[in-house]
Amino acid sequence: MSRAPDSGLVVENLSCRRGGRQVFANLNTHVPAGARAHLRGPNGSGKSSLLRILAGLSPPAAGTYRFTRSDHAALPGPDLLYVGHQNAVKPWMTVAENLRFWLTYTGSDADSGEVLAAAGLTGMADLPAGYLSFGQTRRLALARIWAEPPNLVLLDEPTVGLDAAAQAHLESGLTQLCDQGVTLVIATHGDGTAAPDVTIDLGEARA
Amino acid sequence: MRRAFIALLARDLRLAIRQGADTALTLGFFLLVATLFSFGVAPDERQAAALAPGVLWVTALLALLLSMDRLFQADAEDGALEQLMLGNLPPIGIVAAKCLAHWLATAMPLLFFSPVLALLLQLPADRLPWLILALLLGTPTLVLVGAVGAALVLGARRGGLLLSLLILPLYIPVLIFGVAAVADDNRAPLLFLGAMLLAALALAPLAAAAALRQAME
Amino acid sequence: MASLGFANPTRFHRLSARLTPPVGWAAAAFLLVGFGWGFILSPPDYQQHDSVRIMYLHVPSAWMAMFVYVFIALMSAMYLIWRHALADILARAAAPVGATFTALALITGSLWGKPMWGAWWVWDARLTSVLVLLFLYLGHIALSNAFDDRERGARTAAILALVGIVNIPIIKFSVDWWATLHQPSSVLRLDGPTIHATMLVPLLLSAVGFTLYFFFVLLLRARSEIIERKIHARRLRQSEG
Repeated sequence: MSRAPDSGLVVENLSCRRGGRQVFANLNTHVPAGARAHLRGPNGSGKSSLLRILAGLSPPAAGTYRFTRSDHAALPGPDLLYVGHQNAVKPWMTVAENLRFWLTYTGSDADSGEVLAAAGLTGMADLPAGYLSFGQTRRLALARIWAEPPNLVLLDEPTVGLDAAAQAHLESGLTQLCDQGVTLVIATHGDGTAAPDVTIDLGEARA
Repeated sequence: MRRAFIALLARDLRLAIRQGADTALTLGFFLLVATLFSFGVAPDERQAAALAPGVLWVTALLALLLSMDRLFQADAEDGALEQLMLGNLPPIGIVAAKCLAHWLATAMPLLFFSPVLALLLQLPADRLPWLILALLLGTPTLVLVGAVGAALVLGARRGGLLLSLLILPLYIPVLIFGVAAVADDNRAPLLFLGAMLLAALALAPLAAAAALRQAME
Repeated sequence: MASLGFANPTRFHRLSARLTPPVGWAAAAFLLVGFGWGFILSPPDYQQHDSVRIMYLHVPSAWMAMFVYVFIALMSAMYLIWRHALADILARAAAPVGATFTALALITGSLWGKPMWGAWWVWDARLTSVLVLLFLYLGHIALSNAFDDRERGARTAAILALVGIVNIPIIKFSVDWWATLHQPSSVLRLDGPTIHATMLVPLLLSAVGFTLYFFFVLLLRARSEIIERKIHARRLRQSEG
């Protein structure tokens, strides 16, 4: 599919400071719409900080970033799906209630049963989320990937706590998203996943 | 936006009911402390009646204060607050929904049990409507002001203690007019409580939203 | 950007080194003349006799309590809008000074109230709102130091300072809005002061002295804060190797 040169995620001279310390500086990168980018770098290089900046949760110290959808296909889902380190799962609500809340809150009309089935969590719908294992909770947090495809997906170490089968399942979901034209930015340590279109190495972007 | 507001309100109410322990603790504290007062300081009835408005207000206020530090804390700890901030509901709406849910889940039960305590503390029965009205006007202000404090101390060391230092002084005016409303046959304190509620409704969500936004950075 | 954020405090540091001594001497001169005139030379009040002299301490303290708070709120707004490090440094430096002025106003007021009203403390609107002001100062100090990340503390304390600004008009107008025991203002009035010149002049002199004293202490405290930050920055660089 044809990609306009500046559709997708454009990052220009982005700098990040945390606690008075320069985390990274002058980061420039371009992730075309529908491409998959991996975010690499040692601990403390600012992978999570960059994702939080891109999600709009914290302002950058300097520089700009913008995301433009691909011209021909604005995807039906939300503009942005960000899944951080934490799962935002309430142990006192059932699996289905947890998912349904986030779907309703973000204005999605997706059916929670179908999304759970796609996420491989069928049969647990009515279980209080407190009974889930660590890996299952992570899968519940990531389940919104299988609702209407969002335009930009930011994932912070999505595979932490997932077993091999769950990792493979997530991987197939992500591949499917890319095929639909979703732009992906994933912070990851592992090398076992599919090859990215773009690699952003924060280890090189230090001041 | 309205859908998101209602969803968040419903979620918080559902969590409050499921985790009944929080509400029960607050309510238990209110009942216990007020009862202690009735044993501790009131040997004769007339004295008890004079003390009753103050005791009721102070215990209700402390009970609410104890419950406030969880308002945003739980969501901040499990990452839900981040996700809430990324939705379509502006931070002011998040604060408003959470305050409303907190008032319904925590302050309403206090209101419900306050007549029982009032009678236990020898408050004359004809003052009961005034007490209910004063609590009805005063407790939302306490929750709103508390929300500002709760948002400010998110992630602070010894947040609970700091929260008391920040918001107890701001509770003083509510306490003064609240007690006056129950003690005297005078409309003015109630009007002041109403005015403070309006001011809190206008300003507190704004301030709490600003605090939440910067807590995310 | 990093250098720009630091250049201004550094320039301020140099400027303040030159400003601090003259401001300090001017403060001392004004306070000496103001207090000498007020405590010794000015006439006693026809009703309050010599106890009126506590006014030369009480009234400027109370003015400064409010002035410093407004100063902090202004710095806080500047900090939140422009993220200017100097605004945070000045707000942090001013808060304990403001708290001290507020405490001084409350204590001297209490000492004045005992002979005049027959009570050390009355729960009237003026006294209550000034007490709330003291707690706002203390809350500001506690909050700005409650976070491991100092920028986080700065932002949070700044928001508190802006929230607390609603208290300032309440303090100012409490004596007009409610029939308080505290007497209404006799200096800052639309129809001119109702206080005689023999008292007004020393009062204003001490007020100027208090203001200069505030800026003197502010400069000193801001300078030490900047030095502290430089040490902190150096240690951070050392830890990064």
